[in-house]
Amino acid sequence: MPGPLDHHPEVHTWQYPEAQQSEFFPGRTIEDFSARALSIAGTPPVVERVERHDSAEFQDIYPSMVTIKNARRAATDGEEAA
Amino acid sequence: MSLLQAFFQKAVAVLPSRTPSQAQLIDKESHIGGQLFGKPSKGVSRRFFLDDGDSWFYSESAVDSSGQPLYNFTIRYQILPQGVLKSVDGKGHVFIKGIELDRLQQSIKLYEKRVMSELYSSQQPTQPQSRPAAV
Repeated sequence: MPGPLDHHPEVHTWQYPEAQQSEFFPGRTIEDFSARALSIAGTPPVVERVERHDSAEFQDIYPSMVTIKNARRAATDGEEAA
Repeated sequence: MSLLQAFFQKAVAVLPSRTPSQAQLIDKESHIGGQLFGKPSKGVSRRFFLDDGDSWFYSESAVDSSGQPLYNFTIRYQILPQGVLKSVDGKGHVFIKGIELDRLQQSIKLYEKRVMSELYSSQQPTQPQSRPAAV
């Protein structure tokens, strides 16, 4: 089932302007910036290289996704349920 | 107007109905999600949301004081059985780990809490029984 953004391939192919990257985020890689962007309000925006490899905990994400999708399905009366 | 804004406007305009469409709900969720990262600077707008598949999107755009676009980018976090695959504007695919993964998980937990209380508060909390079928 295609996602909503799949109807807009330009979202996926949009080219990030390197000139702007260096202008607005000098000396930072996009990975650095992403980590900063994902810092929660109240959490120091730590920007540092990631060296950990114990990422098995990402499976905790699934229950939240199921909860949200179930809520959407209920809110749309199941009309758009997959 | 950002690509995401254009998309949501089109999606919302296509099928007006009494019950919200999934695109309308995702649009509302994306505004709530964009508030999870603190107050943005003037001219900066953010969206963060789960699509109808298994991908999370973080999008940020900025305009200057005259309204001219400064930058615009979208990060996609695709949740796969083997990890979280990130790409920026469709490029540079890499599995994330460490601090970025931890913060993404924090963001998703907060997102769930916020949208369930602010958008779906009339519903009883659902207890997830399994992973999404598409995964």
